[in-house]
Amino acid sequence: MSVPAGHPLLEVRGLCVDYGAGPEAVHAVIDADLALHRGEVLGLAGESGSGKSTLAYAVTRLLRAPGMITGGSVGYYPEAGTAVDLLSAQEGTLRVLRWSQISVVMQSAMNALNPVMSIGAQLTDVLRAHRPDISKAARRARAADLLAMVGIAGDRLSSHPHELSGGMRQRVMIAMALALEPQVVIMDEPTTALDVVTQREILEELMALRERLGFAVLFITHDLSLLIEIADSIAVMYAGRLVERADATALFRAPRHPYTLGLLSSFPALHGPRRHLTGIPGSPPDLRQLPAGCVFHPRCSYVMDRCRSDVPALLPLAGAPGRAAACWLQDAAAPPPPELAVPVPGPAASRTGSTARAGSTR
Amino acid sequence: MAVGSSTDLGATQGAGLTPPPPGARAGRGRLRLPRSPKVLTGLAGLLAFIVLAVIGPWIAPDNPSQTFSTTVSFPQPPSAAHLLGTTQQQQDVLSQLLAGGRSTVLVAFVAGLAATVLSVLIGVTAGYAAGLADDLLSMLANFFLVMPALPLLIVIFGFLPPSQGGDDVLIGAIIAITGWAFGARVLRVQTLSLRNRDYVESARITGERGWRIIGFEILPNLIPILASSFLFTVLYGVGTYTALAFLGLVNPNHLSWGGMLFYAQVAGAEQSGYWWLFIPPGLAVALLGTSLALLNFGIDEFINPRLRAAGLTRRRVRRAQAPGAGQLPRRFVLGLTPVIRSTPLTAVNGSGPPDFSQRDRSGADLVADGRPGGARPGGARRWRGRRPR
Repeated sequence: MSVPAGHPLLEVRGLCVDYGAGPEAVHAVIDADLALHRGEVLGLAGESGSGKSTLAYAVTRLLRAPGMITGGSVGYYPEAGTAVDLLSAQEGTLRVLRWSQISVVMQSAMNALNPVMSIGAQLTDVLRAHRPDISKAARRARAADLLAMVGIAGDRLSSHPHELSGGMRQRVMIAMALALEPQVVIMDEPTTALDVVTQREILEELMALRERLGFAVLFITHDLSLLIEIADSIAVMYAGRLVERADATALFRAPRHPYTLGLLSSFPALHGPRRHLTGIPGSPPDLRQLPAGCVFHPRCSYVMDRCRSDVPALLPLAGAPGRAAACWLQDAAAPPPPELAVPVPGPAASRTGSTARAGSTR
Repeated sequence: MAVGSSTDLGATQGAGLTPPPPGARAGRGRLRLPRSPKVLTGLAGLLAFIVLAVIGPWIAPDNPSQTFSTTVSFPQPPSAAHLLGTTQQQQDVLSQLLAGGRSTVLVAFVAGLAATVLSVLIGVTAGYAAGLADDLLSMLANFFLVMPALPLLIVIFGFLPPSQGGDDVLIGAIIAITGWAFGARVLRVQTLSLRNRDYVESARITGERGWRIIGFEILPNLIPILASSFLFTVLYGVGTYTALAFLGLVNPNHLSWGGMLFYAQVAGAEQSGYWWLFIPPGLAVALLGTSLALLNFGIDEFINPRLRAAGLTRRRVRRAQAPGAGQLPRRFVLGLTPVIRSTPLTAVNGSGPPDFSQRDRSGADLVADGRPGGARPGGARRWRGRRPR
């Protein structure tokens, strides 16, 4: 089930998102290509302001004014033979799709839950709207099931949000997002406000639920180390552009873009030889005044003359299926530096690696 | 955006991260009202009336109380000598109109100012003090809210000695007595919500005095509400003063637009068709009120920036509209991000991902057809009409 097969469930192609119009418009996302397969966890990583949340909100058409989608397409393929173009979908189509097919877990659960309604009422509300045929008692039972699913006792249904801890509120949000068994769950930094222990618990539960229910997850976070652990594949964003896309293990073991390498060398490994943590010098660029050429070149330690003038495109890498990087170093014109040419572990190794990681989280 | 001299980036490497040139954002002042046509119209109108109030009596062609003829007993229609005709007493209507603005505007602004001061004193104190003081002050505000204003004013003006019937400041202050309660209620509620914010509580814990907390932590947060409430009360002052003068409760010899309406009524202008007696002062009052209301809309947008849609006025949208690009939306709908698909912003070199399926291409055609992003104006309108309430 977790094997990506056939057509992707959600396909984003050439997506461009602007804030504002005219010459002052800020291009927050430029030419983003993503594919989310059935049952897959796709991680979207990047610094603050790199456009990852903007991308996710644009895909669901939830972006607020003055955000505008200025190009590209988003296709949703719920089953073989059917396709929905989310960008041309009408309000009614979107209303049907949202929550029942594609649901979103917002960043802060504190603001997403209505403080004056019990969580039971908020959970049954969505069932009443989308499944009008089931009885009140059945709705209540389903809500209790949902809570139990995320590890909250069913008698908490009559609690109000202020009676729950932050982690529990986040769990309620996840339960709510899963209430209609969607195929795609978009999670925008769902665990940012939580401590690492709670974060771990929730993520483990989430991954177990995914195994059971088979939904696909688009997971947005700035925490690349977290993504390496939970995601099947990872896309790294920088200044509104996707700079690298790869299988999680491959990205971790053998990054191909200097920015990914910089992110990976900003956190320590628990095992293995000691490394010097370098981080990335400088700070992310101002989206209103992007540098010419590759947007990353002012901070890149491998910068070449070409990087200052030409924009590299996100191109598939030769000899590495499913990988893509936007970097002139991978141009095959000259061999890339050894740090960016580490051989990718074989598919067998990556599979055992991922199961080993899944096992170690228990 | 300083890259920081501590990092060992070369000068050329940092070239892309130079700070924006000074003045790149200079056009965005901190206290800048949105430049919508509504606000500009309101502001221009209000300024024109204030200027009129200052210079009106001087630019009036005649002495407004001068009687031009003792033989004619009917109001004369507009003529070359009297551009807006004459009153029953054969006084020049244009001169009265120009001179009468001063009293009306002055009373309205005195009323607005006094009522705002009263509402801050009572509302903010009630909200901040809480407890018994709050109860008493709220009771006072409620008392003034439920009391019908006009009968009260009639009673008060009945006690006023005739010598003071033409004192604009006094009239304004009396009107303010009936006009402060609404603002006080609003300010009290907002203060109640502010007084338990963390920054106010931390100021209290560090031992700031009450007046300083109110003045520096709470009042700045109330400024948008204060401005809105001030304009509202000025509007109330215009209406109330005009009504009182029209009813003849203010000394009728004190020139004002309401007084002109009183004399028009006395002359039976409506029945006899002497339109030049009541239309000019009525229109002046209406225009002053409209200017104040329009300006208030602007302050509303200023308080709630979401109303502004990030400065995307219709004109800017039109200017930004690239030929051949999709139609920009007329308004933004929450949960329905507009899609304006045009040519890609950057040239993509290399091969793109595989094509969409045949079925999806038909969906893409639907977009080109125009809803919601297409070029048909009718489509956009229909789309807007489909919005839920």
